[in-house]
Amino acid sequence: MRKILVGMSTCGISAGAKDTYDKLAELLEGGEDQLDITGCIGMCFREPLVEVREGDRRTIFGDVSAKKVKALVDYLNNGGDVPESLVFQSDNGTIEAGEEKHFLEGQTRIVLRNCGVINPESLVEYEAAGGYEATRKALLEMTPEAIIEEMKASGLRGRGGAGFPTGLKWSFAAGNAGDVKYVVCNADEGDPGAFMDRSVLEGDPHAVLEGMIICGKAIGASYGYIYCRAEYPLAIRRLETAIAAAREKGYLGTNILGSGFDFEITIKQGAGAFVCGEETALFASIEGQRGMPRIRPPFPAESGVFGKPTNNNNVETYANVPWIITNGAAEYRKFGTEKSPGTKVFALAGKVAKGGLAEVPMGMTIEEILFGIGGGIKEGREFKAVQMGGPSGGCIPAALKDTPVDFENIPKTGAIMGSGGMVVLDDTTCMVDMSRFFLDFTQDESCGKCTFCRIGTRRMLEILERIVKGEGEKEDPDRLAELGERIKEASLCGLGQTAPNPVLSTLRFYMDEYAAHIEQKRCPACSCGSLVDYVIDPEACTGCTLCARDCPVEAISGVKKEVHVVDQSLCVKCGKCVTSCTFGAVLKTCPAPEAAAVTEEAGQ
Amino acid sequence: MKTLTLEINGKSIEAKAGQTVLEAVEEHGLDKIPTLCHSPELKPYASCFLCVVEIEGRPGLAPACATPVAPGMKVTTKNERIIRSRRTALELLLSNHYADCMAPCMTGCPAHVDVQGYIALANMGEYGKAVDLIRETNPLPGICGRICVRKCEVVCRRNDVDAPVGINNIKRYVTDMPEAFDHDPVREPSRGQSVGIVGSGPAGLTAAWFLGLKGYDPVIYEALPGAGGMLRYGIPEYRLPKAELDQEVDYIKKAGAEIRLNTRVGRDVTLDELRAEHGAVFLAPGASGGKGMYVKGEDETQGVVRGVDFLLEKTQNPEPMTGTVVVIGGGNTAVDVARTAWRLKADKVIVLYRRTRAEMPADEMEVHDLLEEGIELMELMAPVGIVRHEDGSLKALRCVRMTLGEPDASGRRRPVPQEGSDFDLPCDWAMPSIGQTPLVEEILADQEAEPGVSRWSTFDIDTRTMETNVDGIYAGGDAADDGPTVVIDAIRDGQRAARAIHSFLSGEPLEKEPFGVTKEFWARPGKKELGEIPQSPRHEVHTIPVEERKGSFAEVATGYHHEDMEHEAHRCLSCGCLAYDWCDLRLLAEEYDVDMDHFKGYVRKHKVDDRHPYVVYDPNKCILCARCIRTCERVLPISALGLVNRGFQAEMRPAMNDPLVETSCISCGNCIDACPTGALGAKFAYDGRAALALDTEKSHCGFCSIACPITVCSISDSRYFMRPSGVPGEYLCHDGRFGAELFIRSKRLDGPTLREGMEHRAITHGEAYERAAAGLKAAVEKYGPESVGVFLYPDVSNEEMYLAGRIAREGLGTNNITSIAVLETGGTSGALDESFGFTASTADRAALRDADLIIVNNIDPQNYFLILGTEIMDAAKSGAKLVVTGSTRQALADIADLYVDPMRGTAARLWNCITRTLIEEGHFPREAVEQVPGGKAFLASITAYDADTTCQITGVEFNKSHKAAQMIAAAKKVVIVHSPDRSRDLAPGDLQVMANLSLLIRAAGGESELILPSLAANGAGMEISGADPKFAAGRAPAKGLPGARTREELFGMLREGKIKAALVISEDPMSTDRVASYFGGVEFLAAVDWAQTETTLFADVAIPGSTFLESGGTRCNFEGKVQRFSPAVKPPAGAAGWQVLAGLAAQLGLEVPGTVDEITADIAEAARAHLGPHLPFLWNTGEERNWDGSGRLVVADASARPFPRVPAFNAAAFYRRSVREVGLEHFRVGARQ
Repeated sequence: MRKILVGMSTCGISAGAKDTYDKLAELLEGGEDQLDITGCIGMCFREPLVEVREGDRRTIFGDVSAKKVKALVDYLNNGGDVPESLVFQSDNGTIEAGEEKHFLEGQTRIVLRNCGVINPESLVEYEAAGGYEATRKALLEMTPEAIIEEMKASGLRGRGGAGFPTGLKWSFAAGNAGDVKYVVCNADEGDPGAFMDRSVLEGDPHAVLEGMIICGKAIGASYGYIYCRAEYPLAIRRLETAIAAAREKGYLGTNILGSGFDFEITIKQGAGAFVCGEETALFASIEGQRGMPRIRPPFPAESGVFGKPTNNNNVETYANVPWIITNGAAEYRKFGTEKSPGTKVFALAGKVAKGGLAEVPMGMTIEEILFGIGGGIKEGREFKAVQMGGPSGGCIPAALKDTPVDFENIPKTGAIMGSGGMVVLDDTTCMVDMSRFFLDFTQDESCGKCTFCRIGTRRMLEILERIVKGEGEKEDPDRLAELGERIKEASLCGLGQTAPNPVLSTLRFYMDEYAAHIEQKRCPACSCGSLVDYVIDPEACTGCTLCARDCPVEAISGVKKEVHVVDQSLCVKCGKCVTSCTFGAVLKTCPAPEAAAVTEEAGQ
Repeated sequence: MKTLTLEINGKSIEAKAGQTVLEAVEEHGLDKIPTLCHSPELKPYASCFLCVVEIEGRPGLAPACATPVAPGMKVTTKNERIIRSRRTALELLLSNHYADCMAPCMTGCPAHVDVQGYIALANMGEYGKAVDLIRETNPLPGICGRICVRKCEVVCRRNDVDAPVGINNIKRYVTDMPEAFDHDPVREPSRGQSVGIVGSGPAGLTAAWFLGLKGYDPVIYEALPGAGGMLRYGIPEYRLPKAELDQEVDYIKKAGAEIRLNTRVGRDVTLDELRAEHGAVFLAPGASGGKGMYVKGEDETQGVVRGVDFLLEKTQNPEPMTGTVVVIGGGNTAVDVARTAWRLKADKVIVLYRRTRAEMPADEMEVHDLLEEGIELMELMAPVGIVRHEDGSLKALRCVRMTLGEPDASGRRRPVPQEGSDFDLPCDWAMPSIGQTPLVEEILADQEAEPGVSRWSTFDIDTRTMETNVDGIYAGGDAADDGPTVVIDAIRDGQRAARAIHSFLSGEPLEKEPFGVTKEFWARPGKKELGEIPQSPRHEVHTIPVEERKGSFAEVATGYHHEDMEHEAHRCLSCGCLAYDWCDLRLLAEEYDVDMDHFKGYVRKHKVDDRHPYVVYDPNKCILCARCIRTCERVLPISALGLVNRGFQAEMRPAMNDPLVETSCISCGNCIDACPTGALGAKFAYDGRAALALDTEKSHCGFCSIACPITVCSISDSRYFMRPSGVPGEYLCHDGRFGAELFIRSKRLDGPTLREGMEHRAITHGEAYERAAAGLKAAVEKYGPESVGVFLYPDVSNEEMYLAGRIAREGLGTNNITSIAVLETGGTSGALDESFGFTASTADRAALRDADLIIVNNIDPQNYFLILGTEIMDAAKSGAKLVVTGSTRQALADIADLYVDPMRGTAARLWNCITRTLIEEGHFPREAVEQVPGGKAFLASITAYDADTTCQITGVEFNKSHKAAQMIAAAKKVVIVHSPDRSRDLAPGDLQVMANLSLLIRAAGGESELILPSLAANGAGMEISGADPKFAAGRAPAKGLPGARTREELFGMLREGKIKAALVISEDPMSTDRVASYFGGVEFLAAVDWAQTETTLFADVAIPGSTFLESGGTRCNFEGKVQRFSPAVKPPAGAAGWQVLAGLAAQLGLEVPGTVDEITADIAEAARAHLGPHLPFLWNTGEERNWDGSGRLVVADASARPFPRVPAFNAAAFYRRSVREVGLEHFRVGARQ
């Protein structure tokens, strides 16, 4: 009997997996094949994905849109040429063939062990994959101290970004007396370009529940909250399904598995405030208050949700827990580095050729991840930098691509590990504009409490806005650096303390780009709208007049069938001509370097 | 308390565990750490980040307000990095602070005269204060009020509405009032140092004024025979009368200035001599040299006279003249010269100007008058030559016509001569009036000191300090810097020089220029922002008719009439911030030398929300410290304020973004007092909005028996408001915060009156006492003393009650004294005497803090006892259980653990049932109950209160009352709060029922206290002060006089119409028909009240009394504490209430003490004599209560019977009720912005 699975996480669904599924259901109706869904397999760049499982053999086809389903079914039933991309094929865990063989070969899947493998809505499948073994072991065989010791021994560090040792954190919460304690799972993933936690929640929700239950046992809490952003409706639905199933099966509720231990989990939906990813703001939001951070200490282990001792970890951290309990700390330590054991899930996005989810052992270099797994840069362009840690993080330039990705080495570059977003930038990305983008995000998402974060980031943004418009002043980089430092050192929460990072890190590595914008009024990446000239390539122009007709300010002149010209003094840089031209004759250029030379001379 | 050791600024200190770094630093006086968002009574919040400190080992800076101390911590509270961070925080906050610290008129005035302030004072009729305020920056208000160029009006925001406010004319108006000069300036003690000043013009006079006030001895050297410089010799009499000048010069002399006339420096005395004689020298010799026309031969021609010389001569010798006069120039001097010549009857006067009228620098008003007087203005013409008679005298002026070309450096179009347009203008006099130049050579000739001089013959100075390059020599006025300017610039120079000289001579640091932001920093607000302001035409000054001017130097402008001044004052938009003097943001910006340009960027602009009757919210000034929100959270169960939006868009807004007036806001105003800037402000009960100097006086609030400490802030005896004490966490309710509006806006009695039919005739106080005494006496003689009564409202002071009691007993020979309001609420004499042995609260509010159960019966704290309610909420938040009973749901019920709603008038029965349950279930053991005196009878009586009947009568299900019983059984310390005079849920016997419950809890081994807050401010003082039929002063048993023996008896007599004459004090029985009917048979009525009431209108003799802000004396608060009241403002009719009663008593032949303190002492002494030193009233001597908790169980009348709603029996009670229930528009302060 064959099993046919469709990758139905948010990425798949948005690529059309739902239609693919429906079409498959229609065509397979009455047949022997069993159709089912699964979570994200990680290869977002090939969605929709369809997996065919026969015994231990897994074959995955990519780009299977609904209209290609028929051909695929024909092929499966009748053989012949493979009609769709054969993404990869594995047998008994060994990857054998396929276009994207490398993508999975380079990975080590602990957190994502079930993602894209099991049906996330089926507790039976989860159990079949070894699910709830860890819970059974922790609840029936281990003392809280033993669990914490095991966690400490594993060396697992918080995957939310700060990398605080998880076992140690648990021991703090365990050490604080209190009749009521809470386990909180931070599922308020908010970094632009990050979707690791969502994929885990959608692909393997029970693993997170298990992690929380075990944590509850370890710290003496019998109540858990999952704080999930409302923008993740599918994750929430799957969590709800999972919680209901676990409760029915006795993994949640009173006297779990006869252990005498009680545990309940409630989902709290966040209203999409980025700052609620900050734990004290998250607690305030759970309590029904406005999501605003408060000062620490007191730390959550002492006074968290409703003023009670609380342990807060993120989704990925909890998802690691059952694996560690089942396989033991020693096994876990086999992956990763001495100080950063285990694996880390990254979301590859931006200009990388193969965007998606990749779980790799800690210590793998940036180059290995981006080029080995991610397949390098899109369209073969030049790798410029990778942005890590989202709005709190920074850029690692191409020159540092051999930096091992772990908690020790990444911060040395000025970036942070963050929760796992890797936004890849190529030579068409303007670093000033990218800093502006992140700052725009943080200054919008600041809760508005602290002076520096509320007004300081706004002022930084204004400076960046004028730089990208070519109106920057000579002192602006210094102003940015100065204000950035002030904001970092005098903000209450992580959002403010890290908000200037994208700017500070680009100032460190790409000062020349800032200088070009300010002094020469040019954008070396040809990206900043106001600093780019649109010119018509006389070789390519056919004189079709389309661009001239579309130009809103009549800056393009030319007679029919003759080469057209853009009058730069009239051009408002809207870029309409680029899209109008069907011959690719309109080019974006930076002003000629001569102009820069003249400016320099004038300056002297 | 656990302590720990840490190091702050290198000093090892012991701090309490749990303290914050800020608290530790403050406690040990180690530094003054700035903060905007923190206040000690609030939980740490940490948003402003001004309090940052450095903690060793931590990467960033830590907010001291929210960082707890830790052992071994090393803290630095001040260094370069910290200061830089604080400055940045301030710069960021101010970069989004679209506000005006000072009004544009104030910043626009070179001397920074507080225009808004004096306009507000003028509007209040406080002319003397207005002039004094001007003199704080400008000692020549009368002069400036006439001739100032009014830079203030140029920048007045009303320019964008219609026309500027007539600022200068208001200034003249107030200076013309007699109050302006009716008091002498106050000098600081003499410093014995003198300063030499050269020149008595505005710069010299101003410097002399400020130096004189500072205690220096300024000596002015004046070359001419009169003081004033150009003010005397340059500005003609018809514009600035010499008498006005003399008056101001004399006033400056009173500040210590000596003026040596006819003493020319350089001739009669030298600069070096001045230096030797004085500690410092200020050179302000002016610019007396007139400039010529630069035309050949002008100096040799008879008939060519410089304008300034002409004015100098004609001031001293105003001889008439003949011939045609041509004045050359377009400035004020040219106009002055022309108009002077016209007044001296010159045959024809022509003003020649090379541009057009529009470009003339002269005051527009002056040019208007000039033309009105028939003087000819020849535009676009310039002199190029002179035509002489044969005798060398002037025949004509050769002129050329001009056209206007391109704009020049001044922005005005440059006049260009038209070639060949020359012509001769026949004339007898040509008077160039086109500018002056300083004459400094004479002063400097052959001197050792050589102050630098510019090529324009002016002294080179540092314009911030007016220092020359020679130590101790300063220069200003027309002879310094960029040369001749206007009077107000000279005044500024004098001001700055005085400041710098003071610093030079005293060694004190130079006073900083005040910091201030203004909206113009971003952009002039303009029509878009001011568009909604209704237009209102500007009033100009009145002038004398033209025909009266010729040949006369009478002042042309006669100024404003009162209506004009009032009209213009109302046109003022009050742009400047009312929080100017105490705004922490502004003060810190000044301290930290903030640079506004540093982070200039987009500024958010908001509309001011003034829809609330008492609170104005200007979001532009909000710094999001959330102190208002957090304060509101402490005062109300659900905060009326909150935050909306995120990031830069975040704003403090009323809950759900509704207008504040539509939220749960109770108008207590505590948010205003929490605001560290001027974002939240109060509306006043009077006109005039400005940051004005306030007299402050500590007192207590007399609106209810909580008697909260208040600060009375007054501008005058009729403009004042109340504020909290200033102690963090001491709040006020609406009445305490805004209630002064009642006294200011009510119809006050302004003098005693005698009613003759429907007419009220004003009489003197003496006459009033005579008439009142005679009327009462006559009734005593006619009907006997038992037919006369004295009635007072229980919010008058103990002293007034005491005097009223003596008037009744000793003056009229009757025991008939009480309050009708108390009678109406069933008040009985000595209501709890049988239970406790006294009638008062058994503890003070501190008992709430360690209570584990609080029972709130018949009080609605958020409405009537806010401050007590806040303390109850605090206790509940820290763990005390709360039971609330009341027939109407109230805010406190929201946070109560149990809310019980018995029908009105049945609470006593309900509580008896609860008591019965507690006995039956063994929580109050029978044996223990029997041990209490009266216990057996009580046990027998309590069985009547069975659950079923009680449920039927009260409407409360048994499970609720049972739960209450269980909560009492589980509690260790129960505090019962019960209001004895709130008629809503009052029930007969409820006081006894509560007392019994309290005694039973004690008998069962628990602790219990009874607290009795009363709506009337001095309900607790009636018996102790002798205002009760049963008790004389000190609660001594009343002697057997005719009349009632108890309140109940007196009530009966009243209802039966047995009272034939009465003295009514601050009570208004005539306001309701039912009560008025008791007075149907009254033949003589005397009334004392601060307000006009139905009763004072009806009374045969009405005498004005006083409010609690005016009278002094004491009141007994709900805790049994005797609180002092200050006479913070004067009663409008002169006599305080106690003085009126003392006068009346004296008229009746009594000997009464002469001061209010002596009366207080008399009552205190009587109380000690009869009650022992401790119980139950504490006379501010720190005594402890020493009641042993014993008492008697009294079988109370617990029949269910609601009391009628008691009418508000006086103006204050009427006000309190109206504000809450009717929202009385009359008292709501004006919404004018």
